[in-house]
Amino acid sequence: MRWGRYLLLRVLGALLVIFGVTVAVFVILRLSGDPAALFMSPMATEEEYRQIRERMGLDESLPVQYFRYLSQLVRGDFGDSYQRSAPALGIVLDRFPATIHLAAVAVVLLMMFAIPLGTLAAIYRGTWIDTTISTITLVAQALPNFWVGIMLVMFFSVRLGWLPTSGIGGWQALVLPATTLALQPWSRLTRLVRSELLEVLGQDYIRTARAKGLAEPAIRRRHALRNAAVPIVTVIGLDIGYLLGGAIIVETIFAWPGLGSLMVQAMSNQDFPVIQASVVVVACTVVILNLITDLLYIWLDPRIRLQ
Amino acid sequence: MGNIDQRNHRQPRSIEFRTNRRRLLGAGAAGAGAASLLPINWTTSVAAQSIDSVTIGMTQDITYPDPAVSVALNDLSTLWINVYDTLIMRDADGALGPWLAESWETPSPTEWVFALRSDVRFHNGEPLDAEAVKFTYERYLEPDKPRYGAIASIVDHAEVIDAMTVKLVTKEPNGLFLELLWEMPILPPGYIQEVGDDGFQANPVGSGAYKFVEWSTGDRLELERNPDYWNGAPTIERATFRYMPEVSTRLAALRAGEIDISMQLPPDSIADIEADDELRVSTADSPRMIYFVFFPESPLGSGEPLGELRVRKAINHAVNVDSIVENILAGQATRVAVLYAPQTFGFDSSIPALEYDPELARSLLAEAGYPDGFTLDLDVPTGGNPIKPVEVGQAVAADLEAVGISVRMRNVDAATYTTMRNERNVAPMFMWNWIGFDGDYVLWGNLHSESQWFYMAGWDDEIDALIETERTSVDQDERAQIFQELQARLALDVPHLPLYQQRDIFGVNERIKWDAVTGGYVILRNIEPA
Repeated sequence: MRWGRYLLLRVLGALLVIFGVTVAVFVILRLSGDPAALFMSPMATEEEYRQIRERMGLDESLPVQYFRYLSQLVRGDFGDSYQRSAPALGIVLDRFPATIHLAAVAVVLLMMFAIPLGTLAAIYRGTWIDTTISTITLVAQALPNFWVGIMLVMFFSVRLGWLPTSGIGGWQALVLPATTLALQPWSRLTRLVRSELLEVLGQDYIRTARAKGLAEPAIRRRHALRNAAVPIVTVIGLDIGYLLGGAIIVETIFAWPGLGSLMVQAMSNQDFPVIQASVVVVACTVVILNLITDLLYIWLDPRIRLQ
Repeated sequence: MGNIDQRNHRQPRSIEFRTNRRRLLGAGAAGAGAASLLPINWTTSVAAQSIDSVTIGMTQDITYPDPAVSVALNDLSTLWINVYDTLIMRDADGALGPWLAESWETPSPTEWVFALRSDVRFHNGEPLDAEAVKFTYERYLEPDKPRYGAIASIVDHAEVIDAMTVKLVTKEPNGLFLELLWEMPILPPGYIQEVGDDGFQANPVGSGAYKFVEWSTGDRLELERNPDYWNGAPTIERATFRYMPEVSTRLAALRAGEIDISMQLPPDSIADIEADDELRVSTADSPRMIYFVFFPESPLGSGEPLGELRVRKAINHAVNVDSIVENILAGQATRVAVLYAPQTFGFDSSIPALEYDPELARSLLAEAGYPDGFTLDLDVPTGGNPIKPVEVGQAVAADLEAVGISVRMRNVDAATYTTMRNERNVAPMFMWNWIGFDGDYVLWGNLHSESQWFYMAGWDDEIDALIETERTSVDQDERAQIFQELQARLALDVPHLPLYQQRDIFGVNERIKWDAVTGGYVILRNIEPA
């Protein structure tokens, strides 16, 4: 019963967040620019300008526009893209898989490198291993990812010719963009794993386990990592959301045809329907991921179950 | 540490150990496996390309293959120019000549009769004849087509005279009608009737030297050669236009040999490209001009001094345009005297630019009543068509400061900038750019009072009258004459600070022979192996 109510509350909360996002996006977009201008030919007259605005529905008052937008939204209709006169949601969903693909690979890389290295840094805390790993993560976090991306391309693609410079095409094309994308989340996660493990390893129950005669690797796996898991899973969940919605820079540099590069294009063309649809899709994804993360806690940490 | 304890611990420990590690590995493998199974094109692009195919890096994605829907310069330069044919064609300097139409005449000012070539077929085998032209125009004139408004204001209807002769009737006499044909390619009636508008959008068919193969949005456009092309089969078998919005990406791809041509490179990249033996630079003058517009009535208020002709002249004398071209654009631009480029029909080369002379600028300002200068707001966009607009703006501002004009500069992103300009909510001096192969394109938009884009200090209704006359005259000599008069007016009234016309800079791999043309079009049939 408690589960059901918890789930219901969380879902309602999620819907509220998404609703808030749609309002915010709508208002901000309408206040920031005028897409009609970008559609006018050099020969346009005042009359044509007014006609274009009318056709796009931009001549009505803001509340009227919002009401129309909302009523279409609940039917899943985001309107047609101004640039391409095809349904905006369709365009967005077409490009989403490429971003998911990139983000998925980045997350795998992230976990593959952050968890072991963070653990090593914690176990060998104070030694050269710890110092090296900590320094590398600090540097990685400080470097702007667009610079790193460009440098990687210059070195591995142009200089060495090992990997393609950009675009989609085989696993080789994934390496550089996924690495660039994963770099900063990796540095954050590694440091988090390290600090969480350190905290957990200092707990009484670890000392008890050692006193019982449990070997170190078993202690780490059965007790330490499991207990450090909750904040680690939280951060991974948040990072996935960040990766999905924020791969804009990486997608632009690597000409990766995903949602990020679509959003950049739509923004420079002031293509309101596509911008709105993109933001809502990303918001929904992030909200759902957070929901899943919350549910994961319940499985991971029995103490939460009992609350 | 008794035996029993160790035994108890060992067994569960090893099971736990295996299970956990297996779980971890399993999850990782499942993740990687799942990720790799997502539908992605597996052909690698790292391998070197044979000379049978070329790849071009473009800065914007294709938006609309269907010409009845919209005109985007990038669509025209990459897709339309290769897949479709138009009645007339531009040469490398931008002048118009016969193409699908072998000849034409105007029996009356509103009638244009075209005699078509008889050997042209669409990619699906249909003949390109007068019926096809008529169908194409009737389609452009369908009210539900987005370009209807723009086209219907010019073209009234099309008539078939005989199998290979078609007449286009304009609403009013229109002097630049031939220019407009450049943006109205001829489309196949049978095919469109068969597949419908959506089918045509998804798989466009034309009569051009290349056939459409595939377009994956945000990624690439694939074309293949049309061996039955009426003007001779092209050499290159396949062409790919890849969407690469980022300059560094295009440069890296060019240097790595992944693309053979890169469109729109900045002047700073020229040195790097020339240093590479396998690459070269090819440039062409663009009719696109960069200039500052004077807007004395600006709501920002500081524009009042600009109502004075002497002040406008002073500003022109104060700015060292040659230095800007040399230092900011690496010499890759050509100074213009007034808002008119040499490639534009009717250009008057005798008009001199106002020379850089800060002393003269100061004395003009003093004469006009501003011996101590004044404060001026200046707007520049941060992107869009101009190259390095912010740096250019800063150079201009610095030159103005040197003659006593104190400048407050704003940098605004391109889309917002356009909106501000349309709402007439810009600074009294703002950067703009314009492109046009015919004088009307440039002058109507900027100078005619009914234009949405109109800004002209010093305007009077003689300007409107002149423009209307040249628009409706089909006598090209008369039009050229009027254009010269209008250029003279521009030199007289100084409504702008004209800077320069940009150059389109392309990076090219030495393995192909191709030169940039005015207009920035990538005409595939002109590419040959080196």
